[in-house]
Amino acid sequence: MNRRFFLRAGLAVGGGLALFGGAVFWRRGLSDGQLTESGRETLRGIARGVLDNVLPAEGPAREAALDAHVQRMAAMLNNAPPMLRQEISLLLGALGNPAGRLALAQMSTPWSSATVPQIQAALQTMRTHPLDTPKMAYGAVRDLTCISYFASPEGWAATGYPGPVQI
Amino acid sequence: MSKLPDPFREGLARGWRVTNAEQGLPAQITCDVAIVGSGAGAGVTAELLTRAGLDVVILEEGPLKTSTDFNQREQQAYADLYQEGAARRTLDKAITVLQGRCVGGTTVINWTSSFRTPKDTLAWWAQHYALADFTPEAMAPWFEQVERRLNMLPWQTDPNTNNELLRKGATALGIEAHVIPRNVKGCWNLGSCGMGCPTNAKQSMLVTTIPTALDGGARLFHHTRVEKLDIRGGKVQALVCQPVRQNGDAVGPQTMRVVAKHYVVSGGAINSPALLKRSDAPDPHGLLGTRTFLHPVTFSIARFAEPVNGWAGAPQSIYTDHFLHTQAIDGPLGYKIEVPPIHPALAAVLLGGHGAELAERIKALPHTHMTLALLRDGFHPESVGGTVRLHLDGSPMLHYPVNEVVLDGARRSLLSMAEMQFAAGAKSVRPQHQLGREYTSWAEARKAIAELPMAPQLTGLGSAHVMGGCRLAGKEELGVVRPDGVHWQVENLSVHDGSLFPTSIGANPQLSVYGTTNRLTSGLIKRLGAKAVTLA
Repeated sequence: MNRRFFLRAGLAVGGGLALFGGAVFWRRGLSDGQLTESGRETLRGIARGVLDNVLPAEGPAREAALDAHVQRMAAMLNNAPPMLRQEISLLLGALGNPAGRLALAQMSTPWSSATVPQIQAALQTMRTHPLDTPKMAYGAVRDLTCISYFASPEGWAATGYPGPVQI
Repeated sequence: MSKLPDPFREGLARGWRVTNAEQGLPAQITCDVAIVGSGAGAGVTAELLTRAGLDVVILEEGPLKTSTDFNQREQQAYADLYQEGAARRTLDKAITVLQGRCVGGTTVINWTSSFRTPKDTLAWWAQHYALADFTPEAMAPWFEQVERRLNMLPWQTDPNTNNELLRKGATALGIEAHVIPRNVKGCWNLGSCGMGCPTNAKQSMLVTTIPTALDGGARLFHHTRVEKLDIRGGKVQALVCQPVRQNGDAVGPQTMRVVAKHYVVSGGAINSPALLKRSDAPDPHGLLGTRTFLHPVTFSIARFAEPVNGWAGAPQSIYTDHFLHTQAIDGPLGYKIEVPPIHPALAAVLLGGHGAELAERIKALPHTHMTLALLRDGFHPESVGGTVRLHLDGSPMLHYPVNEVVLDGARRSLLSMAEMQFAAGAKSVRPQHQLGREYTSWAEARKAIAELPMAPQLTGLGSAHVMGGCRLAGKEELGVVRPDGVHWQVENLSVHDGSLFPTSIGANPQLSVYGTTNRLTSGLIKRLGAKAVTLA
């Protein structure tokens, strides 16, 4: 291997990273503190997988519950400090573009068109991945989804929690 | 929304000098002592200084929320009262860190457990940090005053089922379990301590020391972030403050300078070291922000035939210290065992899983019992804690490598908790671990937990106790601040919060913060030439 090879390889790797970085930016999850369409699509897909068996049955009620969930996530993320917003924006950007989704979750289908079993398989891949980054991504999106959903009265029905005591 | 009397709002109506920085700040103010933060250390400091006749300014980054706002709902509490909306984590995301961010700080959202600094912890500090005067006897009067002031007494009401099961399991194994002292007065036993007390029973700083300070003429600025200390010539010349919104965004370019005779940093053990780092505070020995401890917490989740309803009743009322004393203090990490409250969102995070697995676990919530183990970090030679660093924007981050010593403690604590839960009659037990399953006998659990791969991201870890980073020491090369709380290199700067501790405490740390800062503030009053006062 000679110097020219390393130069070519370096350019290729650099170009690849630049393309990936551009893709992450293009599909970033937040812009000016607000969820982007791509971010909404990713979070909605993740919620379909995480919350499948606690959401209302398929149909308008489930769609409405998912809409409300994404709205709560948007409010929660808007309330987050700037560095956390940036981290989540990047994470959603990585999960939202095909290359990142494939690398982190081994799922080629977009979140919006993936089936629930496909999404759950992707989540499980991230959860038990040998590398730390997919596991970190799983923990972040799974926990944010749970906090947002089960902290709201809409989520309590599945838990047996009767709600606050009247005082 | 609570309809009960709200003493804080009544105080505001009486004319307390409280400013929401979102509405604007003056360019400069002066005072005798400026206090950064409004939590445990800040509250005690503010009350004592004000009663000593000093002009005090309290600066809080978070919002002012009072009992009228506390509606026992996680959604609102996490957004309004917690650092980073309760999503603060260590750098590698392996440990979730719960800390308060509001007037009153973490005391508004803690679970009220009140323990003095253990004797063996103080003895360790004397031996290793030249803090010979921090003996149990020397500290006792300072703790006693706090205990009187904040009504810290062993919980008199029956424990809720979640706590009672801990006692039952421990007793069945011949392990001593005791009642936890709590800082409450007229507690309604609601169980929502972590969401702000809607009845003002919890004797947090929001309803005790901060109101006393405000009644005495202190000024409180909230939504006010202290960006840096202007340090020149070995002294702090001023604080530079910025008005911020709930989410931390700057309101605008305006700043406020606070000029004082003395400055007390009480922002908590992540924010205080970060503020000193942002301010380029002298750090000749490279100690600032290091040895930051978390009491890394493991969780064990059990199911019982009878309802547990772990959301109801005082969150923590029973504990056992048995496993703190089964090995040397600097041996394998010991642990204190307690229980957490079980509200839906926090529980859903701890229960783990997704899809059908999560649904099945969350459906069993009323019958779910949880215990937690606080690992005592900072004593074993390889338990060196974490380091506070700065993001590019100057905000703090904590890097806490989860090493083999911590993971060994995690495994042993999961085994201890599982055994106790089975002894209490659990139908099944599952460690909080990504690969953990429901084990239906102690023999099965023991074998499985012994074989689980312990690793960051797989082993569930949390923390609500951040300690260290600006540690006390009797020798300059060992600490950031002197035994009197004053910075070793900056003469008019003190640190009064959990960042003072050279190791973890080995118990829920709120009383350690109160007692230590009570003592340090008494000394500060003397040095400032003000009249002597006692907390109670």
